[in-house]
Amino acid sequence: MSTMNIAKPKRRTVWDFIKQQPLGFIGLILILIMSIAAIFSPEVAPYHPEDVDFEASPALGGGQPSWDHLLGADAFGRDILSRLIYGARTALSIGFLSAFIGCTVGAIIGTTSAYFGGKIDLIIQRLIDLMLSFPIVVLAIVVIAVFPKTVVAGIDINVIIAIAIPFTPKVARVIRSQALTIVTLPYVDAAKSAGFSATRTIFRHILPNVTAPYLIMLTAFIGQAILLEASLSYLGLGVVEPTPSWGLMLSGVNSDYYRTAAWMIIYPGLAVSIAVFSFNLFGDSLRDWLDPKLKL
Amino acid sequence: MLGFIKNLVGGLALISFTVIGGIANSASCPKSGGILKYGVKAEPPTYDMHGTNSYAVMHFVAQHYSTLLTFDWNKFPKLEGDVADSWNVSSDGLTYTFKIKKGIKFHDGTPLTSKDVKATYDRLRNPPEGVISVRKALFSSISGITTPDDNTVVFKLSSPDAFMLDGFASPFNAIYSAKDIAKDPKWHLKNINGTGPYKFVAHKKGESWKAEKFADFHHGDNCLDGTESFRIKKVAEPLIGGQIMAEWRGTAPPERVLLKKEMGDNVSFQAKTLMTLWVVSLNSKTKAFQNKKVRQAINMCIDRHTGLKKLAKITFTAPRPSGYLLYDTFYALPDEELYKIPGFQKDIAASRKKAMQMLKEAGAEGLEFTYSNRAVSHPYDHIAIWLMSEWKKCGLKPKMITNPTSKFVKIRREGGFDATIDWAPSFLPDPTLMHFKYISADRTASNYSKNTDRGLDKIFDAQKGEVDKNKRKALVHDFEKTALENAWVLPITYTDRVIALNSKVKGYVIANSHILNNTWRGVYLD
Amino acid sequence: MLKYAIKRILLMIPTLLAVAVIVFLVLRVVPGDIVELKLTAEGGEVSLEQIEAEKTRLGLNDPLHVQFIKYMSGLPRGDLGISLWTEEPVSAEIAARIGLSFELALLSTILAVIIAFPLGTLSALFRGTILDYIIRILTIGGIAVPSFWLGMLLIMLVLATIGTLPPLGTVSLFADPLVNLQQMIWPAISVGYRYSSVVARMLRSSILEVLSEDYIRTARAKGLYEKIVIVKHGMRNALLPTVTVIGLEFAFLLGGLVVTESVFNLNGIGKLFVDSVVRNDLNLLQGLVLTVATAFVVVNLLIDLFYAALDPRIRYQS
Repeated sequence: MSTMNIAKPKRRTVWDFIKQQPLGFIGLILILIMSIAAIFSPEVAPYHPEDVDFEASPALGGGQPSWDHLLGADAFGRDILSRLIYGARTALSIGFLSAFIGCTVGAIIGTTSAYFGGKIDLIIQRLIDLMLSFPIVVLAIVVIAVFPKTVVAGIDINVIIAIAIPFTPKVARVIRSQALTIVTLPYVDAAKSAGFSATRTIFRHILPNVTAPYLIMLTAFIGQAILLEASLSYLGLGVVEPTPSWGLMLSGVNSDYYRTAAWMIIYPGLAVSIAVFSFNLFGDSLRDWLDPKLKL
Repeated sequence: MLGFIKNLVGGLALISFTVIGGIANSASCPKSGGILKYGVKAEPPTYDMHGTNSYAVMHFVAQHYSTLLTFDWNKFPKLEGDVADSWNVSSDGLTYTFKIKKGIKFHDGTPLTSKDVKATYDRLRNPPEGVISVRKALFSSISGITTPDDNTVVFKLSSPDAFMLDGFASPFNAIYSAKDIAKDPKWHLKNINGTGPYKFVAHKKGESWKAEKFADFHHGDNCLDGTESFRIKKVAEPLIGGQIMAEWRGTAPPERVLLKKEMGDNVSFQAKTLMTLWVVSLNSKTKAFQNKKVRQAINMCIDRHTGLKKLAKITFTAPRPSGYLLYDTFYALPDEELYKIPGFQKDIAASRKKAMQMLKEAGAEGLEFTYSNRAVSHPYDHIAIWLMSEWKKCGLKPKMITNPTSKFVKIRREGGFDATIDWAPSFLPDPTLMHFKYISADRTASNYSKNTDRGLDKIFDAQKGEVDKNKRKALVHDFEKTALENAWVLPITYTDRVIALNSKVKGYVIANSHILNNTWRGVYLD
Repeated sequence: MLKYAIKRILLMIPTLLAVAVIVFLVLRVVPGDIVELKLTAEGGEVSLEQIEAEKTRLGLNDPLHVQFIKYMSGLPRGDLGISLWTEEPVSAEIAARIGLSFELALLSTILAVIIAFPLGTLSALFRGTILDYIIRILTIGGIAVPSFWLGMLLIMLVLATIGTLPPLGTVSLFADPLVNLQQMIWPAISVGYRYSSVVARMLRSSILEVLSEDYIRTARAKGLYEKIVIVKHGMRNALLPTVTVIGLEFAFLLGGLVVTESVFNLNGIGKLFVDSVVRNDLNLLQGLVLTVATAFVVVNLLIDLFYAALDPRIRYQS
């Protein structure tokens, strides 16, 4: 399995990646563009996303895509392009943070489980099984229902936790199986018998060797998290007004404008699709490149 | 609109004096037959009309029941008998006598008598253990009900109540059968047996409700073979796609544009101002809001005169500023007086400048406060987004916190907000009914500001007992001005109700509330 | 085999019990109030005493351990309590809707399999060609496009072309298959696209794996014809993970049609789930989560048994 990577490390450069995985490279470029838009939203966006201008509302006869509003304006005359750009910030921050938390916690649980084995492993395994018996959306919605809404620095903590929790057991399971093969390697055994602490061994020796599957899952789950955030917001359970969110821009009432202002629902839908598409494309290629046999 | 005011004045005048009313002639059906399919955007939490304010219950269940009195929808709020043939109010206003129409039958075939009316009102004013009556307070002045014979029912009041007669026409006061109530007071929570135009057939939870024509209906104007109502999420698509023919709560402007574009002549609209007022309540526990100047300043930053016109084009709010009572109604504060009150003035630039000055003096410049919003798009998100942008223009820093309804109502009840959206639905522009929300918190459960104002309470009590309508009007104006100046609860706007019907649906007259006229009497399919 | 099956079925019980306990405990901390919602969400004058009385009547004021004992003792009898909204048994509420969700999940599965098999196989056989790239982009797109957006676009498309939407209200497949299919086809497509992409991708990588197995490499299969022969041989191995994915996705769909049912206004358990969260109907939510988890565990078990039937080694391993 992936121990192959450790046994005979290949020299890998970005150039190799571009050559071998052109689709993945396209994904990477798109991700970079989105990240720039997200980080520099205030500089890039022509308007503040919450600026209301009734004159530009399609309901008052305005809002067509024009030089003033490149992608048109929404019901409140808010600039769609600016909301998409700030929406990238919402999507990427929620996507990255939830995937990062989910994957990191999952990786720690997975390696711990593999390192200690025995009873601890068994208990953790059972807990993982338990959590895996819920569809992701169901688990996410339950978490949303349980926690009161908390918004810190414009980021909805509630949604992040709701998305991170269902990811954790999935990652833990994959990482555990990877870590199991490493735990039996002589140098880990040596570290163990040399009396190094568990924390040291796990962090120094096991975790670094599961970085490939970790990275692959991280990219894949960012895409999934963005999709999940959009779905939750569409249902009215995720990000709420006035925060710019792609899923929220697609919420039911906006489709009433489909004959008069189709841009209101076309562009946000495209934004979600392209974002998730890029992460999947990149994640897929990363897997093909790093560890083709990894099963998620 | 003018006609409406006239009717209203007439209607209210009727209340204060001894009246003898009669039943209107039963309208005949221009056409009979067909199934009316309509949509309802919510799901009824109960079948018990006495225990709810929900319009969903109204839209599904009201067709199965009759009330003591009802309104003449063409001359609203003129009263009309439903199961009552005629009625009489004693000159001291303490005795109400109703003659019940003979030959009315329940859907199970048993006859309706005065005993059923008594049992119904006893259940309403004094609900047995385990039964909720949300209109208990409304009938608190009734001291006793007697039934001299099968066709007469007499209500005795402990003190005169100007609102009482209209209360008998409240659409939620469905007449239940005494035998059903005796069997189990909670029977009506899950079962239906009324005397209304349509008979209950089936309810598929979360999905649909079926009813069929009741052959023995006492007015005889049930023109349809039956009705089928569906739980829907949106109005426009089901109407365009032919899934439904009507929706009774109302449409938002963008839906109307879409419907007109897609359906052309196949859709018709009916519009009236809806008696639901949207208000912002300021929490009396919030330190900054304990300063009256700050509350007023917050009110003064809202540009009601031009902003509401625009807001009304994207959601179903009314385009005109209003006090607590609906503009143009008899007791409402006239515009020229309303527009002098801080927050309602026309010159918004001057108003905002002054507001910022006041905030500065109060040390509340750039005040940060939370605004609790309900996670529903129309009109909540729309009102909220507009208000946020208005307040920001004064340098205020409102923070909008949106929660699903079950969390929102809990926050509202527990006072976990600085400012919250709130609403005051009503079915009549009656001051007692509509001002009840703004008196001291220890006297009403629906004052979410939780403020206390004994002066206001005094005016309220005075108007409630005042029988001379002009004197009452002066008192009501005093109440409006005092409460508006105090600015604990800021009235934002009333509601525009525009319902969309498939043009085949005829014979319906829209009322000033979505909880009124929901029995589908006289409605037929062309 | 029988012994293995019984052992696995018995193992399900502690898992589901644990789920039941966790769900109960977790949901007790939900903020929100269904009684307040029922009585005052539409305005009106309702006192705190009335609200408390109603809570007591619904059993919400019972001490936690009383609620817990009531809930746990009901479980063996299939009694999940009453919905706090309708006051009907939770099991009846779910039973009335699960058929629709099941049918939609099944229909989407059929659709997904029909689409996925040719796509996945072709993509693997023509690896690295334009065809492979197109299929890969299509399938990656399938898991990227939000199904609710696709659903919205489909509704608009139907309105723009056919002009009428299928009648509202669930019509059983057996009562009127044509109307039923009219109601189900659009939601099935909006779910099926994503679903087929997931399956096609799994199939592709499984076939590629088969092709790269040592014994096949020694067969030096370079030509397409040989590849097909080998795939035929190795298909059984390639199918196993694919069948697993189909099974897992199906199990997820049983409870995970939340968004699709909302878009198409279908009265399935997904919509019920959203309603119960929005209304704070804890009993119903609890029952739903339990049902979904049970469905998932059962499907998982079936997959395992299927595996065990194919590969005797599994039976002895565990």
